[in-house]
Amino acid sequence: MQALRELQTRFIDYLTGESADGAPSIHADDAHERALRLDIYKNAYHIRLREVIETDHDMLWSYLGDELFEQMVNGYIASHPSHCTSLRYFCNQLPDYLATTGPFDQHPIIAEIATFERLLMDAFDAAGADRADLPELRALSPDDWPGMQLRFHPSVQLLKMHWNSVESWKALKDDDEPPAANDAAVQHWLLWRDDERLSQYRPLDEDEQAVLLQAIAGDDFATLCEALLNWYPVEQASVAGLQYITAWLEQGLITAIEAGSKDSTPRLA
Amino acid sequence: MVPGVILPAMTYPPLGFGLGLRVPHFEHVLQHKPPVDWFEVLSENYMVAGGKPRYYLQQIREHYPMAMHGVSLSIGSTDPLDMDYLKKLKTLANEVQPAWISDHLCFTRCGNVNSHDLLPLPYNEETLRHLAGRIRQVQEFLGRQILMENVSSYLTYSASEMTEWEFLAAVAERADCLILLDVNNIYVSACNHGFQPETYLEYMDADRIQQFHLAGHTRQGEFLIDTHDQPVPDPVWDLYARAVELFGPVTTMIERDDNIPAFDELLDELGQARTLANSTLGKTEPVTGEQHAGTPRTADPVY
Repeated sequence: MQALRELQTRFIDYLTGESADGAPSIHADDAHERALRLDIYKNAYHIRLREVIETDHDMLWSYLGDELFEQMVNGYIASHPSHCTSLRYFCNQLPDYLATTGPFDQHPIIAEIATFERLLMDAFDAAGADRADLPELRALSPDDWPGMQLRFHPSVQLLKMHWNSVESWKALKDDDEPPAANDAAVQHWLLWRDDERLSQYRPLDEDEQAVLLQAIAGDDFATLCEALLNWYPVEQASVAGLQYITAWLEQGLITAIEAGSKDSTPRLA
Repeated sequence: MVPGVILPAMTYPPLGFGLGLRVPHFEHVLQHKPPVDWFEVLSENYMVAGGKPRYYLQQIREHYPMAMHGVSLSIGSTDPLDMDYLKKLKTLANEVQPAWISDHLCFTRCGNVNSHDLLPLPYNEETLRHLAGRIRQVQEFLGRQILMENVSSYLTYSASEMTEWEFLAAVAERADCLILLDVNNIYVSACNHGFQPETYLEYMDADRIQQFHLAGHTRQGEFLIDTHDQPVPDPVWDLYARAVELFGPVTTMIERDDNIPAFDELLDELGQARTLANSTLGKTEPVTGEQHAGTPRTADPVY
């Protein structure tokens, strides 16, 4: 198998950047024909990977413009030979590449836009699960409310952005001019796949982001309400908590409502 | 299957005339249940946890037989078999219950670098031995015979010691696997290497031919490129007719991978395949390559 191994190694090395001199020996009348035949494979390798980047990151392409996008594509393909079986994952390292490679690293919003596009794809093909609905919540005994825990759809992801990257992505998606890049405020985003199997996203206020994070971690309703005391007066915290859970149910974020078992006494009087 | 023992070939029951199931057609197929005998699905497209592709796969599977077709087995690679991939393939097969599973006689990766291309193998004894063992391993793991498909190629290694058709036939025999003949790929390779495509067909053992692919290609300078993005051209139809003469009513599908047209356009093309196969099989006198009115136009030889 040694000869076969060497042939394959040389062919792959050639595709990923080595000169044709090291490519395997093939039948050809002359050097020109040899180069033509080998180049069909080398060009196909680049075209295929380029198409993946173009398809997965079309708004990033719009944001960068053709020249910078070309630079990014060539740089990424050259520095990141594919190690994955599926092309679906070829661009997984693109946000890191953009965050650490000049000139892209001078504009952190670029890596954030790439991250956002990848997370939309993750939401798109995350595992499926049945959704819980409002009647399930209403059917819960009041005694079970304080200890109630929620289970979230596998597509649910929380994202923290330092730049106005999602707004820029959306402007480009709508064929509008993106706003000037700014990092005036940290923004939290929620991504998920809805019941119609479409990827969705929306911004989160600080309080919702905090309790959603806790709810995903498994904290019960009483604990969520306690956390909301940081933003709401005591008489409104449980109402706010209930409003959030209702919205999450309506948006298809929740797959199961589990009745509490550890404590039936409301923690918020 | 007992390793090392060559059993008489046993093909699966034929499925008729099918199409590749493609994303733009998901909703159309589910709503209209078009008259297609079966669908071929690209295995890798459904090796994800969930979402739209898997939803449509499950829904459409309830109405049609399916075969699973892969592009990532890399059966000819000198890297170890990718057991993670094979486990996912087996899990998907348990879910889909396909009539059969196929992949390509090629290598796609080496040294853990993936070309995502169907790269040709050198046709020699060393590769034959390597492939026979690997295919048997895969078949034992999946618990079923698999189909190996011929790929288009643009080069011939100096290390090759036999023709592609001799190689393919020998692989199938030694590994006790079945064959998916891509008629377009034979034509493309014939043009690019200057051989008669009928010679390829006439060498093959009918007992191992389970399925045909039909597709189109693109000319690039003096080469034909296997793009699978065009309608089936006349020379490929002619070669298909010859294949039907030789091998009978083999399961057939139109494989369009890019430049996907409206579903009904593919359905019409599939109708052409059905009509051609039926009319070919309706002939009473034996037809040789010389007598056949639609003898494939000889590919423009490169040499």
